[in-house]
Amino acid sequence: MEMHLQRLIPEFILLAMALAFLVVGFFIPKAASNGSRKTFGIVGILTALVSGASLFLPGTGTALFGMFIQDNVSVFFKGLFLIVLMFVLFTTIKYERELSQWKAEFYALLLFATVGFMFIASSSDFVSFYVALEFVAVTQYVLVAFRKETSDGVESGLKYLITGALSSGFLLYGISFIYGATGATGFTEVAAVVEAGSASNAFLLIGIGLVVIGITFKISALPFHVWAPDVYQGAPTPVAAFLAAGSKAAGFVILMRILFTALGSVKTEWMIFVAVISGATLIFGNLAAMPQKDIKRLIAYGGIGSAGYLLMAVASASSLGAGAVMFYLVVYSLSILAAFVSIVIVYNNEKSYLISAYTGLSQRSPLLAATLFISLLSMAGIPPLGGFIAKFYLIAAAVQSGLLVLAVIGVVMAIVAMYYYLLVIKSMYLRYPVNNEPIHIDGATRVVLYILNISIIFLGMYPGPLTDWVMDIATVLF
Amino acid sequence: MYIWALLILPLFSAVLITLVTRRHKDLSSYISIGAVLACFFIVLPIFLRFVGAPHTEHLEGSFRWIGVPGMLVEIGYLIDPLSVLMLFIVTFVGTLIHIYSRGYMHDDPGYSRFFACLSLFIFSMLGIVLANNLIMIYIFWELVGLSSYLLIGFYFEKPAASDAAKKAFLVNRIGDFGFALGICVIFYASGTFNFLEIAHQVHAGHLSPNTMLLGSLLLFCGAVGKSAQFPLHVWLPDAMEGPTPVSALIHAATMVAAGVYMLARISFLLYAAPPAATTVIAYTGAITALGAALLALGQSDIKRVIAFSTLSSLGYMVMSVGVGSATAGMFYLMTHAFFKALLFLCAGSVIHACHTNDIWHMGALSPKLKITATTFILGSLAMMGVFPFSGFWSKDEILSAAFANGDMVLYGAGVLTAFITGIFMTKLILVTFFGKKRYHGSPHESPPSMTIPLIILAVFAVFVGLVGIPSLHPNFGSFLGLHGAEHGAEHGFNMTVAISSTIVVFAGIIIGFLTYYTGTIDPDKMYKRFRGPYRLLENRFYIDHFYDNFIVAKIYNQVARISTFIEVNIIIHFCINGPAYLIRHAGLFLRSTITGGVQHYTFFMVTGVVVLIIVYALT
Repeated sequence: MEMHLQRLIPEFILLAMALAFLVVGFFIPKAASNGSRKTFGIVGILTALVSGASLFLPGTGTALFGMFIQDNVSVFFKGLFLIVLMFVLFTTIKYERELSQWKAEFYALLLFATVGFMFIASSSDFVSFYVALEFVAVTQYVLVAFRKETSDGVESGLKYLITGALSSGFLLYGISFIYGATGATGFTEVAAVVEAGSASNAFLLIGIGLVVIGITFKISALPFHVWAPDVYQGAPTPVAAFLAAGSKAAGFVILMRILFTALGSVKTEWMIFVAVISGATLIFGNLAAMPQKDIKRLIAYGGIGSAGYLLMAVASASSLGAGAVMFYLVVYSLSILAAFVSIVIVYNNEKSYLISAYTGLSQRSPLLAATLFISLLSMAGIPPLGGFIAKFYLIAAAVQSGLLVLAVIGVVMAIVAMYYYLLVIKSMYLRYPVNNEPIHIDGATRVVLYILNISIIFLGMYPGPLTDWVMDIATVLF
Repeated sequence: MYIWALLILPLFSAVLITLVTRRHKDLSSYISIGAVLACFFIVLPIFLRFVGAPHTEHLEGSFRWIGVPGMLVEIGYLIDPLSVLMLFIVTFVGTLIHIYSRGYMHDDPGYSRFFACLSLFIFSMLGIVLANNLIMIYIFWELVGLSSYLLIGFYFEKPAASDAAKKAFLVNRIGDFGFALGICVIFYASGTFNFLEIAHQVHAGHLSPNTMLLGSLLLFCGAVGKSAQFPLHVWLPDAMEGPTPVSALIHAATMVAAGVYMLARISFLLYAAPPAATTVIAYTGAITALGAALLALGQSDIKRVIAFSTLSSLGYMVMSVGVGSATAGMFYLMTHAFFKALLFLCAGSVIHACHTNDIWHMGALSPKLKITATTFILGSLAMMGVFPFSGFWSKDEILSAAFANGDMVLYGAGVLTAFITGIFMTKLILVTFFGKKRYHGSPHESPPSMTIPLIILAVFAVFVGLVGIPSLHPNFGSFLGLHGAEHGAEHGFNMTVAISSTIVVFAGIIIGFLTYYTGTIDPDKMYKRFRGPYRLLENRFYIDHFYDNFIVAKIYNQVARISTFIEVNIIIHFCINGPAYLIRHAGLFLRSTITGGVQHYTFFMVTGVVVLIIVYALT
C-alpha cells in the first residue's frame, strides 16, 4: 500500500500535455489559432502514442494506496482509450469551421477526459472510481456544450449535465448502500466481505441495483439512455464519437470490475437484473432507431442497442462474457470511428447530417461509401466483418450462461439492426445523387479510412489473436 | 504456410484489379494470369510429390476462426490426394482458360472486370477444394455462387444474361438450403465441422444410421444444385449466356465439379449411411445423364449441345458416386475437366470466327480452322469414350462400377447414354466442320493465345486417361486412396463392359455419320416414319410442356391461387405487415418518449429506476 507513482506514468504524460495545451493556448493569437489546429492535433496524437507505449513500462500492481490498479484489464482498456483518442483528435482536425475558437481548450479537454477514462479503468475502489467518473463527466459537459454560440449546442450540454447529475446521484446513493452493507470501499475488500457472507443482504442488493442503474448513464443503456440521441446530435461530432466509443468502454470496464470482481460471489442476485436491463435496452435502441432521419441520431440509437448487446454478456457473468465485451468494444470503437470520420467529411461537403444527404454517395466518393458500408454492416453484425464475430461471442456467452430468452431477443434485434443500417446503405448505393460533384478526400484521411476498414475486416477474418488476448485478460476479473 | 498463398494470391489479384488497375487492361490481365499461374506452380510440386509417393501423410493446417466452448469453426486446409488432384485440375485448366481469355475477350469493354471476376472465382473455388471443414466449404461454396453469378451475368446489359445469372444463383440457393441444413445435422450429431474428425466419428460408429442418412441426403442437395443434377439442372443450359471462357471454367473444370468433389470428400459418410442414400444419389445421376443426353440431340446451338453433354457427364459422375465408386467419379471428373474445357474453348474459337452459335450456320469449317477442328474432334472422341482416348478409360470405370454394383437399370442407363452421346457428338462435328458451307463472311483461325491452350488441353484430353488403366500399378485409384470407403472398388477391368460400351459408341457414331454426313438416313424420312418418338424428342419429352401446361397451368396456378390467398392475407397482412406495423409504431412510440424536454427525460429516468427496482426486488 504505497504510492507507486511510476505506475501512473501513462496518465501523467497525457495530463502534462493537456496542461501544456492550456498554457500554450493562452499565448496563441486569435489570427494564428486556425493554423495551430493541426499542430495541436498532431502533438496530441503523438502524445497518445507515447503514453500508449509507456503502458508497457510500469508493470502490474496497485498504486495510490490501493486505490489504483494496473493490471491486464486496465492496460487493455487504456490502450483502447488512447486509440480512440487518436482517431478522435484526427476527426477534430477535419472537423473545421464548426469550432470557431477555443482550439487549445478543446484538445486539452479531450486529453483530460481520456486521463479520466484511464483512471476509471484503473479504479479498484468505489471512491477513486467515483472521483474519476466525475472528472470525466465535468470535462464532457464542457465538450458537449462546446458550440456555445449555437442553441442546440448549449441545449445538448445542459441535457447531458442534468441527466448526468441525476444518474450520478443514484450511483453515489448506491455506493453508500454498498459501503453501509460491507463497511468497505475497495473492490477486493468488498469482495472478501461479500464472499464471507457477512454483508447485510438487503442493503447490499439495493446498493448493487442503484450502482448498476447509475452506470447505465455512461453506457447509454435503459433507463439512463435518453440523453444519447440529443447529445450526439447537438455535440460537436468528434465529441459524439468520443462519447460513443470512449464513454461506453469506460462504463463497461468499471461495470465489469464492480460486478465480476467485487460482487462476483453474489452473481445469481444480479444476473437476471442485468439481463432485464439488457433486453429492454436491446429492444428500445433497435426499434427506436428505425424511424430516424439523422445519421448521428441513428448511430446514437444503434449505440443504445449495442449497450444492450454488451450487457447481455455482462449478464452472463462468465469470463467468456467478459472477453466478448472487450472484443466487441474494440470492433465497435473502430466501426464508430470509421463511421464518424466519414460523417464529418460528408458534413464538410453537404452541411447536413440527414441520411438523405448520403443519397448516391457511392458515386461521389466510393471510399466514403465503402467505409460506411463496412462500418455499418460491422455494427449490424454481418460476416466476415469484426462485428459479426463480436456479436457471435456475446450471444454465445448468453447461451452458455443459460440466458436463452435474452439470446433470442439479441438475434431478433440483430435483424432489426440490419434493416435500419441497410436503409442507409441502400440510399448510398442504389440511389442517384442529387449533386453529382465528387467529394475530395485528402491523403491523410484516406490512410485513416483504409486503416480502420482493414482493421474491421481483419478482425472478422482472423479474430484468433485478439480473441486469445481478451479471453486471457478476462480471467483477471474473476 | 505457403498453402495459404493459394487463397491469398487470387483474392489479392481480384482486389487489386478492382481497386487499382481497373483502367489498365493489359496489366489487369497479367495480374490475374500471374496469380493463377503462381497457384499452379505452388500446386505442381505438391502434386508431383503425392504422385511419386501416393501414401504421403495428409497435410492439415488451420487457424481458429470462431471458437467458443463446444463449437470450433476453423479456416483451414486439408491436403490429401483428393484435394491435390482437384487443385491440380483447377489451377491447370484455370491457367489455360485465363490465357485463352486474353485473346477471346480482347475488345470487350469490361476486360478488367472480367479478369477480376475470374480471380475471385479461382479464389472461391480453391477455397472449396482446400477446405478442411464443412463451414469453410459452405462459405466458399456461396462465394463460388456469387462469383459465378457475376461471370454468367457478365453481359448484364443483355436481359437473357442477367436472367440466366439470377436463375443460376437462385436455383443454387435451393440446393444450398439443404446443404446448410445438412451441415447443421452433422454438427448436431458429431459436434464438429472438421472432415477428419467427422470421419473418425463415423468410423467409430458414433452417428446413428438415420442421422447419417438424413445428413447425406441433405448434403447431397448441395451437390444437386452445384453440379446441376435433376431436378435442379435447369440453370446450367441458360448459363451459356456467359462468355465462352466462363462456360469452360464454370461448366467443365470447376464449379459444377465442386458438387462431385464435395461428394467424394464426404464419401466416408455416404458409404457408411444406409444404402438408401447412395441409391438416391445413383438414380439422380442416372436420370440426369440419360435425360440430358437425349435433350442434347435436339439442340442446334453449339454451346448448348456441349452444355447438355456436360449435364450428362455430371450425371455420370454422380451416378458413379452413387454406385459406390467415388474414385471412378473423380477419375471421370479429371478427364472431363480436360476434354470439356477443350470442347468449350473450341466452341469459343468457332464462335469467335463465325460470330454465331448456330451450327446450321457453320459447316465446312475444318479447312479454315484447322487447329480448332482437329482439337475439337480429339476432344469429342474423348467425350464419346472411344478407345484409347481419356474418356474411354474413365467412362469404363464408371460402367464397370455400375455393372459390379449389380443394378442393371443403372448400367443400362449408362450404356444408353454412351450410345446417344455418340450420336450427338458426331452430329456436332459433322455439321460444324464438314458438309456444305453455310457460314457467312470469311472465318479465320484464332490467335495463338487461344489456340495454344487448345493444343495443350487436347494433349491432356487424349492421354490423361492412361493413368487410370486398371492393370497399371500404381494407378489413379491407388493414388486417390479412397478404397477404404467403398465397396465396388475391386472390380478391375471388365472386358464385357469395355467391349459392349465400345460397340454402342460406334453404333452411335455410325448412325450420326449416316444421318448427318452421307445422308443415307434422311432425317426428314426418319421424321415421317418415327413421327411419334421424334416429336417426343423435339419437344424435349414434353417436359417443358408438362412444366408449362400441367405443372404451371393446372397445379402451380391452383396452388398459387391458394398460396396467394394465404400469402396476402395471412403471411403478409398478419405475419409481416402486422409485426412491421407494430414494430414501426413501437419505434415511433419509443422515439416519442425522446421529446427533447429535459423534464420528461428526468421523469422517464426516475420512472425507469423505480420500475427496475421493482423488477429487481421481484427477482
